[in-house]
Amino acid sequence: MSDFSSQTQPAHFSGNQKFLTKVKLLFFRNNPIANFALVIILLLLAIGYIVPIILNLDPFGTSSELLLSPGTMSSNEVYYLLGTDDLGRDLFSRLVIGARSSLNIGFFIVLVSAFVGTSMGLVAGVYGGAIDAFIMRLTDVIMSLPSILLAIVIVAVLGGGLVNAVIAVIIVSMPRYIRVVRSVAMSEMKKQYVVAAQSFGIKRFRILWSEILPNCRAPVIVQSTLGFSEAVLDIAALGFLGLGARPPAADWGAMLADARTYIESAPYLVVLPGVCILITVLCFNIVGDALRDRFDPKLGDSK
Amino acid sequence: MQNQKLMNIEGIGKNYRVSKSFFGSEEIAALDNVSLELFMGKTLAIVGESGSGKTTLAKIIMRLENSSAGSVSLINKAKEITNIEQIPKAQFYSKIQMVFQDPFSSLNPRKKIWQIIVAPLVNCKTLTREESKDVAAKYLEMVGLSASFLDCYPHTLSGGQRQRVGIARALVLQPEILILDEPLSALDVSIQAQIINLLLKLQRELGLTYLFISHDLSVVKHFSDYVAVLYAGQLVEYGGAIDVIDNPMHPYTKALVESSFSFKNYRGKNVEIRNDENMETERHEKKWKKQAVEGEIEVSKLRSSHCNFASRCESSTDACYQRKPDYLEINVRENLRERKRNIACLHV
Amino acid sequence: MILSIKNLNIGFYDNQVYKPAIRNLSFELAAGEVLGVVGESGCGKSITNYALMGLLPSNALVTADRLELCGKKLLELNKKQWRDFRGNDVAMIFQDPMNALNPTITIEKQLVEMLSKMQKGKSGKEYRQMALKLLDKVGIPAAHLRLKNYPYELSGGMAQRVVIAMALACKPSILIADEPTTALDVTIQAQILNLLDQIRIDSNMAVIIVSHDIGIISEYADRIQVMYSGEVVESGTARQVTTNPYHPYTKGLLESLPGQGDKVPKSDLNTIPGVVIPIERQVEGCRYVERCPNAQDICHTTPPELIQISNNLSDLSRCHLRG
Repeated sequence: MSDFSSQTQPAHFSGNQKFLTKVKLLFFRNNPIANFALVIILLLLAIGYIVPIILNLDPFGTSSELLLSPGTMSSNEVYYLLGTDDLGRDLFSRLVIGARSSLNIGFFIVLVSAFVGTSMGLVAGVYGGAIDAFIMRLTDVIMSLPSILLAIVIVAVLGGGLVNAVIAVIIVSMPRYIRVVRSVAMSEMKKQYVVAAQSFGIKRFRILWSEILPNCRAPVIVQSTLGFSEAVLDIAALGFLGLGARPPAADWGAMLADARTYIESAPYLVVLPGVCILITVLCFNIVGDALRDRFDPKLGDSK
Repeated sequence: MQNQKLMNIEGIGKNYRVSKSFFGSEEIAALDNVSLELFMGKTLAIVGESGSGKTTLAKIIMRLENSSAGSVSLINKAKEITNIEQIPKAQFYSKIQMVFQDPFSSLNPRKKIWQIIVAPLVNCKTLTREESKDVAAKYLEMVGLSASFLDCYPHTLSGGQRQRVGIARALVLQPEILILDEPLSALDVSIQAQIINLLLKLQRELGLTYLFISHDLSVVKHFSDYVAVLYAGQLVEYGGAIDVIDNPMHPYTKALVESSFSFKNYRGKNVEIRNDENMETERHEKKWKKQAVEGEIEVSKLRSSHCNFASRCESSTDACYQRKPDYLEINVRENLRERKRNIACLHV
Repeated sequence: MILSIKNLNIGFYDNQVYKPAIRNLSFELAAGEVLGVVGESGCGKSITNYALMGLLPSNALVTADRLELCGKKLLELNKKQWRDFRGNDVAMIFQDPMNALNPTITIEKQLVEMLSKMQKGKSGKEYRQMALKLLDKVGIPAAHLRLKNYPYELSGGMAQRVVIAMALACKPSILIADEPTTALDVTIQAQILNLLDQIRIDSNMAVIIVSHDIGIISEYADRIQVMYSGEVVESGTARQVTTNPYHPYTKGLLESLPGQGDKVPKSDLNTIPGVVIPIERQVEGCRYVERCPNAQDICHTTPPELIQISNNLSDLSRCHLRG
């Protein structure tokens, strides 16, 4: 109800309350599914980053006696939680290390592409004219090809390998940031406070930096969350096609590809990495959608 | 040094090219040969409807837009006249600042109040966080807000409080001239009075000169010394605020005065009170009619050769359609005193 | 009486917390009468109108001893009855005419579509004729040319006339005008109000006009209702309220306007100290007591009732202090 005047007195919190409010803010009101997804993501982070520290995982050690054996077992004082793969490597270790590498790669891709994409979007939206046209035509070119196809083309040109795959995915995922940030920048440029800033004699770059950029925070966070799942998926796909991580690296996509041959004799080898990818992507997508709902002023839950 | 001139606006024109159809475009004059002066410590009000070019004029003075003709110049204490185009921007904006119409969109929603207030200082000096907050607190106090608002975001403030923040931001560079672009129109009546009082107090204490853009004649009459009436980019009348509003001479100014509402002309004013039961029904059957000028404002074509107001004017004659009236200074005799008045009408 | 409201209460549920917005509103309106509602933003003056139109959000709770419009009990209407009711008995025009029109469809199509829903079984040509007549009636020059226009091609005043034409198409017995001229220029404002009054007289329609501008309300309305923080604090004839205000809030509001008789130009205006009490807050005494210059003990403890203050039955004020 826009007709209500808002409270005028500033609210003060003590330190402890502040922390509690922050924790509360992390979760979503009236959205149990998103909260569940958020918990799964936190769990995933814990598994990827803390479990390798606590347990002595060995994703590369082979065992000639235990090839393709499913289920929990132990032999030679090595404990196998989820069985072994075709070379007798511990599947659990490989999945955990794969989780870590997926998360690392996801974060890296999101950071770099969000940074570059936001900068380009800001420049395009604030300066307009020829720079805008150039940047937007560039994004049009990138977006006119299916992203995975373009990534394959880039990897084919640069050569295989994880680094090149990451570069390819970064390029492919930049347009989403450019477009969102540019549209935010363009609508903010029309607002009176930007005219006000100009009327202090503030230079364009400074307006871009101190007036427009803070307004891009929410949409960039949303896009980053959604972009994260896409990055994980793309890297897994490239790995599956043999264009990403090289064996013996523990990578979910590559593990899937390796296990393909044994899909009938050892289906768990295919299912488990697949489920890992599915859960990660799904949870990040759900959280991204929930964030979008929260930040979108039209849905009225922004404050 | 009474009535020292601070700013000279001379023959300002602004043309826009608007596309009319797929092939052709035509030029329209948003402002046409507008000349005004600002005197130190005085308030000049600019009155007009939307489309009259009053905001364009403010933007040209603030150097946010370029004019197509004419010049704006500042006059310093030594009576030296400098065209504003020749003044370095940082120096220029420390002399002249602007308060905006909409207190909701003129403050960046993602910044705290103290950051908003000190933002104009970025070109002059670098301040630490504490120094900035001190400066902001000082100016907040000057506009009647407590320092507890420093760390708030704009959305937690009411409209009146936001407008005060907007004024504090304009004051932080210690300008001589403030351009007030309809600063009251988005506010409630009782808040309007508070902001008017604040602006009047600041003018008394700091000797500020105001250029006040408004459409509310009763506020203009109370708040300003001089008033200029703009119609479709042209100055039609200029004079002392009370003189012009109490005794409008240009037909457009007359129309404006007649069509503004006041609670003193309540409905049924001319109906005699009779204490019988039929009174109520009788009154609302009575026809009520406000003096209203017909038609709507039309954009003026470049080099048009007739009075812009002629099509809406009740007393227009053929002559009004044949040539543009000159903007002339005349002397008006009123209450045994001679007053200067500028007016652009063939029939005065 | 065409509209009769007794003890209307409206509130909203926000996270299972009930927040009242309109308290104990009672008034009546006769055919052909103009009621002006004046108040500051956030006083709830628009909420009543949305309730009369059945347009409140689903988290709203409306209770009343009586809420009758054109003989229909509004609290008992179901969804379909509401739709018929809105089309036929009550119409509303809004502050921003551009938002009330569909920007992607021509004026003609919008009018024809509405007319064809209202009066079924006529040919397209007849509907177009009716649309043209309506536009003529609301004073749009060269109406046959305007029919082909899109809303953005019209000025604000013309768009508001189109909105009025659409509102009139159903010949409502009551028209609710929510800040109908706030977005318009001074001269256009006068034109639109003249038009509204002409139509009111022609069709003996009752009008509720809501505005924050006391000038407009007092010149245009027969009766004025002053709202403060969800309550009516004063109501009466335009003459009574503007010349002889009784409630301290009304007095304060009128005195804060520039152009009062004894005020020297550029002198300070009177202001009302303090801020409006949040509309949802419950208090023991009078809601205005914090800002009232002559508050007494009783004002802090007992909520005042609306009481008659003159010979005229409709002159009411919610204040403990007499005279």
